[in-house]
Amino acid sequence: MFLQPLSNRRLFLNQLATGFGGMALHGLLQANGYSQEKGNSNPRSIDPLNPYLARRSDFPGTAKSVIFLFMVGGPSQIDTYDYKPLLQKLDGQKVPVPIRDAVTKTKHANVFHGCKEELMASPYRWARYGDTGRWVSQLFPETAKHIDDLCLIHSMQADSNNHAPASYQLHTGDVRSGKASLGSWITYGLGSENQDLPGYVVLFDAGPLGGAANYGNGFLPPAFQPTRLRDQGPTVLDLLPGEEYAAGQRASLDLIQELNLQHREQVGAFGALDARIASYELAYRMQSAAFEVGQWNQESQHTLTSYGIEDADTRTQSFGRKCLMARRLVERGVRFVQLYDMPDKDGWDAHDRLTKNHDPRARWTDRPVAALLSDLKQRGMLDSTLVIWASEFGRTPMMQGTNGRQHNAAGFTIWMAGGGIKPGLTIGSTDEIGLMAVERPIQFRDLHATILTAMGLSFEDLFFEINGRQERITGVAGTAKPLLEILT
Amino acid sequence: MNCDDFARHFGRCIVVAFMVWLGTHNAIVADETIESSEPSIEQRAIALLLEKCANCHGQEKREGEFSVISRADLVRGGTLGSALDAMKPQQSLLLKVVQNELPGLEMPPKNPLTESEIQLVKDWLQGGALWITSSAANTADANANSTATGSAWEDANNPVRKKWFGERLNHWSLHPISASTMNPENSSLASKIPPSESAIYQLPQNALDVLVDQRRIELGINSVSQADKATLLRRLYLDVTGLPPTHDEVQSFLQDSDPDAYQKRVDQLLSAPAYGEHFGRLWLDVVRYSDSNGFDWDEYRPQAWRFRNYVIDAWNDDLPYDEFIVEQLAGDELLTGNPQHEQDLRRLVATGFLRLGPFDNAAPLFNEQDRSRAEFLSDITETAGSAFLGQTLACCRCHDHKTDPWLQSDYYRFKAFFAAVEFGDETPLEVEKRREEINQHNTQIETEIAPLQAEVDSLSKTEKPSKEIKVKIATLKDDIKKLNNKLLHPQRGLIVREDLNKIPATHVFYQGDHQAQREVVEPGIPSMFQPNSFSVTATERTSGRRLALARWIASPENPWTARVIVNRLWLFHFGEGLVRTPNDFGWSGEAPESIALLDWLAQELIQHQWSLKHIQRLIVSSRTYQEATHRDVWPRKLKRLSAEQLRDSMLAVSGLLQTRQATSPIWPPVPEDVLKANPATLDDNETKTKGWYPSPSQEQSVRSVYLVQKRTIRVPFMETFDLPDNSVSCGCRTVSIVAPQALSMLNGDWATEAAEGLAHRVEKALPGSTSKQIEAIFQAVFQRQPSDIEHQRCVQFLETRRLAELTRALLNTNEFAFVE
Repeated sequence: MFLQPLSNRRLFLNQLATGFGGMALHGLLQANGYSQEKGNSNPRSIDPLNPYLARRSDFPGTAKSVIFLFMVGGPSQIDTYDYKPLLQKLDGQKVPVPIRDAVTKTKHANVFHGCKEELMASPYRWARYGDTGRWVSQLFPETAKHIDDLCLIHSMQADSNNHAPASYQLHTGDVRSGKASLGSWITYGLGSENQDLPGYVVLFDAGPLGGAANYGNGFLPPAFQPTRLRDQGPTVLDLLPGEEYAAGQRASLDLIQELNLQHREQVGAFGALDARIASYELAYRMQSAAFEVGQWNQESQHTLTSYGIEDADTRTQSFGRKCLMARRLVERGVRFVQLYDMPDKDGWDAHDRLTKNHDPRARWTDRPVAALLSDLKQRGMLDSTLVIWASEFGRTPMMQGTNGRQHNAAGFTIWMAGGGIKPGLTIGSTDEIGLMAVERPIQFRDLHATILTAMGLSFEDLFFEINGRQERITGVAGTAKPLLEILT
Repeated sequence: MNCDDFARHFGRCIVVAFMVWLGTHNAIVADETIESSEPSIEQRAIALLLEKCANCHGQEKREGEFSVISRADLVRGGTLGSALDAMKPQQSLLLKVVQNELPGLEMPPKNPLTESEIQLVKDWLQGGALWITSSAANTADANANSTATGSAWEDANNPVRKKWFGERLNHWSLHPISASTMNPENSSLASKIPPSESAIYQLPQNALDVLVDQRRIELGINSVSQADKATLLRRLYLDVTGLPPTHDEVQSFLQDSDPDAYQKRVDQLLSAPAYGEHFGRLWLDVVRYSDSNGFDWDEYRPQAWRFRNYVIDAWNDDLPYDEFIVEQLAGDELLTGNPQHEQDLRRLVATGFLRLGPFDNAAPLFNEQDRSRAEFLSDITETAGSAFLGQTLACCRCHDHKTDPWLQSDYYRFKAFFAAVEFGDETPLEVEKRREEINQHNTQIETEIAPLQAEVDSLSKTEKPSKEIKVKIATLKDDIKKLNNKLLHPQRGLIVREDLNKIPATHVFYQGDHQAQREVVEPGIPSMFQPNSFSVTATERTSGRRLALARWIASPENPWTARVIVNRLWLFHFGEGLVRTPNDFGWSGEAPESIALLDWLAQELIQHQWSLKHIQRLIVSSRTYQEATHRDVWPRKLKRLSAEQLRDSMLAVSGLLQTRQATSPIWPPVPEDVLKANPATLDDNETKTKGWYPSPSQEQSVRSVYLVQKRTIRVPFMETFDLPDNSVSCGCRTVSIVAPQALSMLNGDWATEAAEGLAHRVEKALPGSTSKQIEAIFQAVFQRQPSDIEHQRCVQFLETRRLAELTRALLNTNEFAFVE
């Protein structure tokens, strides 16, 4: 094998890199802990050489990929999508007793902790949009034009009123860290459509509160770690060699692989050795694929403008680039894109002076989000791309500090669009001041079950056995309830 | 109770098990009436399905390749396709079949469902066909009013026995560690070993090899060759110290004709400080070590490193494992009064074990401190269960264990041992003599400060002070500042304490919800062993609870403790445990590949004062350990270097490695955009707890065990090479081989620095001679000479490329990245 003609060697490497079967694979499956656990009825088997190889869904779903727009810090539902005429009337007054009593009886009683007793009306103008005539505040004039495409869920609830635990729960189903995130679960279940790019990508300026534990693979095999992509410069950390190594990169790789093949002849064809040989070829391909996907500036002038990439405000530019990157990634077959709106350390966490916090953030994100929806639709990708706009919680109608609002896990709004979500629906509602979900409260596990169902994954069947438990993102208790009525 | 789980684990006796399941299921439904007036639609529908269909479509008889025992099975369906439409349950095949809409497919075939039963199925499907079988309400009721006193094996009234009729008790890990197989020297096994020409059989066999051979006869393995000496030495070095040998060390071994040559290396390496740095890291995985809190702010824990070094030292000193357990769980309870000796300080530091888990510091801001405390105690309970006992306690936080003989109340009885734990961060970590010295010294300084301060105070009262007075005040303040700087501060630690006046009651939490407190329980070991409260003697300052628990765990009679740790040692050396699920020695875990071998090692450990080095010496001295790696030959696995081994090896071969023991962690520089993974770094505070504080570059090249371990920001290289999540105990790292690792080794800073370092060293030592340089590089990286053909190829490579590109290429090879 050593020093044989380059073409044969390449052929062999290529075979390795595009999958091989039999004993070697079996050995590696075991070595990597992917082997079927004793009696494990889970039929998912992962090719360790190609963990992102697309796998069949459990049943035909309605979406192929997900773009999760995470508004870090808790945007206020009562200042964006959940219009409450009564709240507007009760500005400066105390929370009506029946509402207060109802909340106090629940586990969300601590929502009153740390804020004033008086209500604060929304300082924003509201208008009805679209054929469905639903209310949107002046914060999102562009996204409002897509209101008929959105399914609004007004009755989300989280189990903690603090950022990190609630955020962990939205990502992984558990308020504690250490569990696997939705993107890891979905790529574990389905793989990805493009083997030269990571299947699970995260994009951010700063990450969510609670850090990398939000979007990690937890106990799932490390192959389902997310890859952080940058929207400027080299897209992936260590993607490209330093200047002094660039010219010799292929020559170096050839030398490495020659030595590897010789080593293989001496020690035998272990699956793990072959997997590593293949991983270098994949890495080489990834260098060009990941570079290419970062070339968003090749897009048309119209596209760049519509996403706000040429806006005067650098933060609009930055969020616009991420939205555009998300579309480019999904277009190339990436399964799951987790995109964070977190340009700084606070996000939407408007404890004080709501307008000072929310006005610019809405301005930075509104146009890019709207452009993403238009762009996906125009390219015929919206039908197969599930877009989710959400945060770890919303905010209280009670005032905090000076014209600010406290966290609110008792009731808040998220929306979903595309990917087989019926457009124009509204699910659930909060009480008359927008404090707590009263009609059809939805938990994160229900949201997860819905998303997995849309992806064609049987949420009860998507588990990983660890320390004696079949872990699922929807929890071990089996109480998740997907919102089947919103799927086409 | 999830039927799927149940049937899986009791597949052998499925018919009986299934009936038992129905019985248990009914019992659960009955229990639930406490909470709601009647069983839910889901529970009734599932019970109906199981009753009517599972006889033919169950775990055992899967007619039509179809089973109804879980929702997943229904969705998956059988030969006729999916029985349950996950998107539109009302249109499910299941409904058509039970409604007899499909000719020839009327089900159940003999006794069709009644109209009300069909309506139940319809209602269930309408509601989304949820698979909610248990409400987890079956708590400690079985324990209440119990008159049982004996273990589940002796006493028919034991609640575990009453609950599961002994089914769960007949498990290998609950049997006493067996002495019957304990004397392999006397066994007739040797005569059963097939005669072989192979050189391996000329090696002396120890008892371990005899037991391995016994298993191999069953596996049909009869010929294994010996590893060549250079391979063996590299394996030994990397396994025992985490570092490769040098070329000289390999040469000296190859030339050493002493029959004890290998054994001498074994002893030398087990005594090297690097040994503790390697095995310490493996233990840190098991105890979810981290230098930070996790959650929003992920505050740095500046004292956690003391625990890290405690662990390293414990391994190096071969601290008996039973003491190691007791110190980590209850080191503080071993002290009488204030610490007198260094040993007392060590024991306090050891309690860091109880403090290492994630802790949500921000919870009180949202009135969620009860949740945070509940999670803190759950973490300790579950980690102790995983780390020391190989028991999956997390499974019974919300309900009785689904497969193992643990009641839900057992979880809370176990947790109650920890109920009094408080943070001991303010406790001075100094021996009493030193504390007195500090106090005396500080009193002296304060005496000196007092008059100066008085003078400042008096001068400050001067109206319109002259320039001289201003200067005088400034000078005095300066002197006070200098004196203040002389004050001594006692060391602190990440440790625990207890307040005897404040021992909160431990409640069972309904469904694990801390807001749903139920009956109070007292500390107790698992009911299967002893259903009553455990005998606890308070110490002068503490409740004595943890000490009682620790002594029970660290006892030769405990069926799990010794087995669990020898299995970990086996795993660390061979790449796979005798029990392949090192943190799960229950029914859902795997049975040992050889119980005789596991028990023999466990017995050896106990009989040799719980010396871990004794077991490791047995392992690495065995013939089995010295065999060549073969793909299909148990027990050795080809191992990819861990993240730490890989980085440390790169540093070692390039000559950059600093072998000193670090105290505070070393913070590697990481790109700014990686730090932003947790936005708290952007919001660092005066006390410097939320940020990232890169250490000086000259301190960076220490061993990886000393690198900072944050919870919300992960060092990219370490993460890429499978450093496990440090929120929960990790018994066995999952090894991945993925493209980003290749990018990291080709283009990352660490690999490049090592490549440059090695090239620089070789160029400096051997200027001008390409040929000698190539030899030196091969010696450093692979501890061998290049073959002629390799040499020639490298010469050719260097015609166009730099030496550092060659070193980088060699560091990227499989030969470097794997241990054979």
